[in-house]
Amino acid sequence: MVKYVLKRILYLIPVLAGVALIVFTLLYITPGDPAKMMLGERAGEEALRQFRQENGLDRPFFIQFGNFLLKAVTRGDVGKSYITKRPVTEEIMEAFPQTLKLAGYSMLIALCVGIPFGIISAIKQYSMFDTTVIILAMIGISMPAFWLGLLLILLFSVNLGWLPSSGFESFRAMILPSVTLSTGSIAMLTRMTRSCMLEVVRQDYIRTARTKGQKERVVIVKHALGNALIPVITVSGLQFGYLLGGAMLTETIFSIPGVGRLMVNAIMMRDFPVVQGGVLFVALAFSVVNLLVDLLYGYVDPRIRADYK
Amino acid sequence: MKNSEGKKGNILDVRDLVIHYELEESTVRAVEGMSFTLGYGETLAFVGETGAGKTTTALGLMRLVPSPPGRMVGGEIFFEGRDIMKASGEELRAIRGEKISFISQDPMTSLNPVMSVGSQIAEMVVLHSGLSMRESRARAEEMLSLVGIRKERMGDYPHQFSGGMRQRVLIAIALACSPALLIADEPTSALDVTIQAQVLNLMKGLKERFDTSMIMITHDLGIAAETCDRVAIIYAGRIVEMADTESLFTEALHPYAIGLFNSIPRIDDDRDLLDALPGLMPDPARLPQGCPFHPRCAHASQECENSAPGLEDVGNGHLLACWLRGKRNSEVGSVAQ
Amino acid sequence: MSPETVEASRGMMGEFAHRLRKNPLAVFGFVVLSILVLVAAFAPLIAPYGYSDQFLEHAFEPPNAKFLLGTDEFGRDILSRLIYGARVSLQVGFVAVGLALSVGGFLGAVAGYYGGFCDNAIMRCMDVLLGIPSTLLAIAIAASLGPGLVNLMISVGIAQIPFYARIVRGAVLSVRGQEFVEAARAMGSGDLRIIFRHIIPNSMAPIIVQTTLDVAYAILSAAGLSFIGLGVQPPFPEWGSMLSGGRQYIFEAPHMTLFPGITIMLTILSLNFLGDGLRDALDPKLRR
Repeated sequence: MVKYVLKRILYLIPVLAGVALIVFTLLYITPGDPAKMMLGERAGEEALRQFRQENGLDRPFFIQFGNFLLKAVTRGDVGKSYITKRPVTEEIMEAFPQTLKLAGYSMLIALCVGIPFGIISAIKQYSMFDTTVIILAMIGISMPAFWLGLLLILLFSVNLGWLPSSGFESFRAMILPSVTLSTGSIAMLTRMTRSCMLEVVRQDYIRTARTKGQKERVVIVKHALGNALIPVITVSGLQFGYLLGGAMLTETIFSIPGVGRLMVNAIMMRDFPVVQGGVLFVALAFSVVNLLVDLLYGYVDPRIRADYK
Repeated sequence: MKNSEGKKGNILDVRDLVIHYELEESTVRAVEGMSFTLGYGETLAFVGETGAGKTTTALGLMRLVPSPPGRMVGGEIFFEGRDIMKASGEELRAIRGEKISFISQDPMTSLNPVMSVGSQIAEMVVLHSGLSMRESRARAEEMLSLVGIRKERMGDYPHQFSGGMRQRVLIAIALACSPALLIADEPTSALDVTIQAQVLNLMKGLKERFDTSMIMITHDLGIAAETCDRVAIIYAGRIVEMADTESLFTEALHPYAIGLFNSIPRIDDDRDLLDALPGLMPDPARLPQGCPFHPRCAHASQECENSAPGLEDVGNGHLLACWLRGKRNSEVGSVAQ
Repeated sequence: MSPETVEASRGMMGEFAHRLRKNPLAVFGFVVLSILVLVAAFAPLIAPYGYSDQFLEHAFEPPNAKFLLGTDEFGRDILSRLIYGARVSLQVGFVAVGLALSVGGFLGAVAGYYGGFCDNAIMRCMDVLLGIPSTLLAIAIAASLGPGLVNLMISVGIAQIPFYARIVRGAVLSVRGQEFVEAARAMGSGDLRIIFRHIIPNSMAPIIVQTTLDVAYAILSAAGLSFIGLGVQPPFPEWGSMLSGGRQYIFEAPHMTLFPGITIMLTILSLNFLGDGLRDALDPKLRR
């Protein structure tokens, strides 16, 4: 088990290094002179030259990348914001709790709504309920989250005045953003659960359980669900990653000071170190989530657990 | 506790069973008027090609035909005197597993991959015995060793077993509550030949031990001959011939049954070619008028095209559904002899 | 002629079309999409006004007889802008997916067909790209390239490359081992011939489905990028940026966000319904 975890973590390192390379390359090809961005347009030629030398900006690409990677790994330092001149890591760490909270709530909603609806829909295949769920799920997937957010604000904050349209401290303030962000994931999980259930209930071992005289409810919950949820877990992990990434638009609409809004603001201000630091950070979080999902996967599926040894 | 002790007559009496699969564009007549009886302690073979309706019949006996699209259209199934067609859901659950149990065709897919084999056997025991989980696990261990698997493997998962071993686990599950009737759906067709014999012998031994009546579904006449008291030949959803094993093997009467026997190679054979039956079994969604076998039958007459023959006794309990029964000696001949 | 041969003579494509037609949602998707393509193609003929025609005295008008879907802050006709916007969105969707399909498909085919080191190297690179959630990757690329239609397509396209590499590789692997490919190889066909004659036609089904669904996703991503200012630049109409522009006036003129949103949703919905329908029609497992 420990060996398997270590193996998986070791495997993460090249992926993250690759991600860092992409991020660094994107930063490198971005038009604009970092020295000028840091020191301002009116900085003297001498000051600019000195800044470049101090920060290794006059060195070849791969040396620069090496330094970037070294600083990122040893000190968690991925550069400074052009605007605030503060370390990017610091800014992200301040914003991250809000994003995590938002993504966490959304994930919770998605799991609690998506999985039960998927199960019921599969059990009642071809019923009115099933058809309605299929269509609603498709609408959920097709709905641009930023538009849904605006509609929700229009309805619940402006017209009905029930819920605040911004803020993040209170639970009430988190309702609209979480619903907005989770819609796509609810729809994905519903569809995934439904199709996995439909696949599983056709299997011979479900028939075996029925020939035992087992109650239908137990057949579904114990035998079918246990198997159908295995792929659903993987999708949930991916969804959580998308939630972290997708939080950008939702945070912007609801003015939540999370990593997403930090990055969107940075994009508008052309504050690239913050953008790329944010990407790197989300990719890291994404990898960690996927690692956890993989471990969970092994826990529920004995066929994979065998590979641990 | 012996299942058939002091009991006379039939454990199972099926009359005119009709099961259809109702699809969007067509109706598949999987079982079309099946009637048979099974005595206490008796073993009956269902022999026929894939798609003849053997498995559907077996599932029908437990009322487990998947619905939709399956529908039990009509007929009666008297099991120990009670009509299963009229049983409630709860009654059915009490019968399944405890009274009638089922061993399916494919051991690779019939065990739940995420449950240990021990729990899967114990599940059956808990359901029907009133024993605690702990006692049920002890019973499951017993069953495992009975089918020749070390009880240390209780906690192992299906993927850790070979096909033959998994089939043994399925047998252990099926017999865990000493059912009165065991339905085995081609229990060995997915296994290697050497393993087949082992599993068959195991089943035969356990059947004796638990004194269970059995329906053995197979397309292999050899297996039927070895394990069964009586054989029913099934074609296109009906029984075309049924007799005790010996008389069927010495004197098959139905042209289809004769065709089946002639397509088996024999050691004392001096034929150069096996006689293959011409044509294919008809699509059960588009059964022909009259006797379903007439398009392939060398002796078909106008009568065969017009109406389907019923199953009738031609002497000594040898049942046959064929219009030729009166004229067989002069015109058909029995090649199997 | 027996019924079976009649069915066989209907042919694979006929059978497929038949099954697709029986799916009302897929038909809905197909019809809406066809209309959309026609609208985009004949935009100048259909649109009542030009996309940048300003009627300042009519700014912020709700839907009325003169402006069917109302006007925006410059008094531009929203309907006309949506009609021209169809050109941008469809273009972005198809070009981005085309890019992803050709690059990703090529990489996947090579990886699947040759296997070994080649496979490993390509797929590890894809893993790296998959290490970043695709929307975020598109945003990161777009942020570096700067706004604009072409950059938008490139960003969204690159972010989808790894998905195609995976699908095509999987399809190639599943086809590669099959008898007809072995037979072709045994008969001395070259690699390229095998890939083009045998493997590509036989891996089309999952790719067609994925392409349809991904055009939807690409349009959605592009709208999202435009929404945060990384998309097409004004005054050219893009649905996402129209939405974004309407956002500040959401209280006074909700129609400015409502109609672009409905248009986006309807487009994506149609593509998804069609993609789902294609998948069901192509999946032999679901045949009954």
